[in-house]
Amino acid sequence: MNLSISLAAEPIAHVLGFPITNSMIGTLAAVAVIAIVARRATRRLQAVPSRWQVAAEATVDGLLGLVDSVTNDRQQTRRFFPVVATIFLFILTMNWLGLLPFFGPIGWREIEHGRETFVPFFRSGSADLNMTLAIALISVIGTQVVGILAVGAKKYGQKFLNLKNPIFTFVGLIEFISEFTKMISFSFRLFGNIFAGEVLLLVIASLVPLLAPVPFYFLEIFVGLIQAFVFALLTLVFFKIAATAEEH
Amino acid sequence: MDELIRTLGIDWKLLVANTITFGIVLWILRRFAYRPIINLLDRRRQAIADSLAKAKQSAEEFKVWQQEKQRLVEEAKTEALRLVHQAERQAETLRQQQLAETQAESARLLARTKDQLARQQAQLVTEAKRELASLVVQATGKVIDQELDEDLDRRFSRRALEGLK
Repeated sequence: MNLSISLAAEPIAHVLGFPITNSMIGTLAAVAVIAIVARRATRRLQAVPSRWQVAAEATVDGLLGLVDSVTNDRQQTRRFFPVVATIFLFILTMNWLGLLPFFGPIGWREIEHGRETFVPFFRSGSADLNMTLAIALISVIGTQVVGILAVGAKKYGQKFLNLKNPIFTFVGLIEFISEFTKMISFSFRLFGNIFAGEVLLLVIASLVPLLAPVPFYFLEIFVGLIQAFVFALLTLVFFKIAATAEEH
Repeated sequence: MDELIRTLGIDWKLLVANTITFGIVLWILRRFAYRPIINLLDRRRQAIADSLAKAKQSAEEFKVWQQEKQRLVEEAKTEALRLVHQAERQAETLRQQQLAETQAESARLLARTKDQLARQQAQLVTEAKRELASLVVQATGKVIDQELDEDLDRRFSRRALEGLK
């Protein structure tokens, strides 16, 4: 079997010069799932909750507890929670949606540079570096915003540019570079894990289509959860560090 | 670098689109999940805290009420005992008073009766003496066989009476 693996998400259409990639379809599917579940769970909030409401309450309360355990400050928790929880839920939904059977096998064949390639119609949003990099950018820029709001732009800027002392200047330079490495590590970690997982499932399914992929599906369910958790938790920790920057 | 970016498929348009998509997800979750659920959890937490506080307050009030009840029962017992003792004392006093009055009345009656008896006795004695004197005079008259005039009879009776005293 001829496997065609592409690091980049494949465009399936162009609208006014804007590429619509298969990962965008996967991302939009994730957005739709999140919207439907959120609406379904909170449409009629009751004192005696429905099963959907119980699940939604447990998720939100669990994430609130997680954020609280890092911030130890209810006010900070209220500020950080929406972004951190959204990162977790969005990445988790994309990761797990990418494991559905129609993500990957459904597509079409096309000839590119004289070679036949298979273009899947659906691709997980997290298996596209554009998405992971976008979330990483949100996380890193969000960290700077939190730092500036906490201690002021001037004081927060001294973290990166401090000319009082050559050591501080050097440390500032390292801090500046570390913000970029954060972005790279964030985006490539998630992308690498999810993309590798999809490739692994594809390879296993092409070698032994029946039963053999099952353990790997469980592995990928776990990896998808862990990667979403790591991304969200690291963002939260960076937010917390930035919010308490005056102590350094 | 360009080749790497092309291979990885990084496209600023897609980056912007994905950032906007994330913003939309954030808005959806805030609007339909985080805000209503957090508000609900806060309300429920508050309701539970209120209920616990009320239960604690009720328990404390019940304890205070029980203590108050116990105190009132003790007070009532003490008051009842006091009233019983007071009633006993009053009954005793009344009894003593009635006894004293009865005794006084008896003594008074006895004295009056004695006095009456004495007066009656004295009167009887006087009358008896007078009668006797009269008899003596009559007897003497018969003895001397002579009628005594009225004045002499009176003097004679008086002398007889004085002689009897």
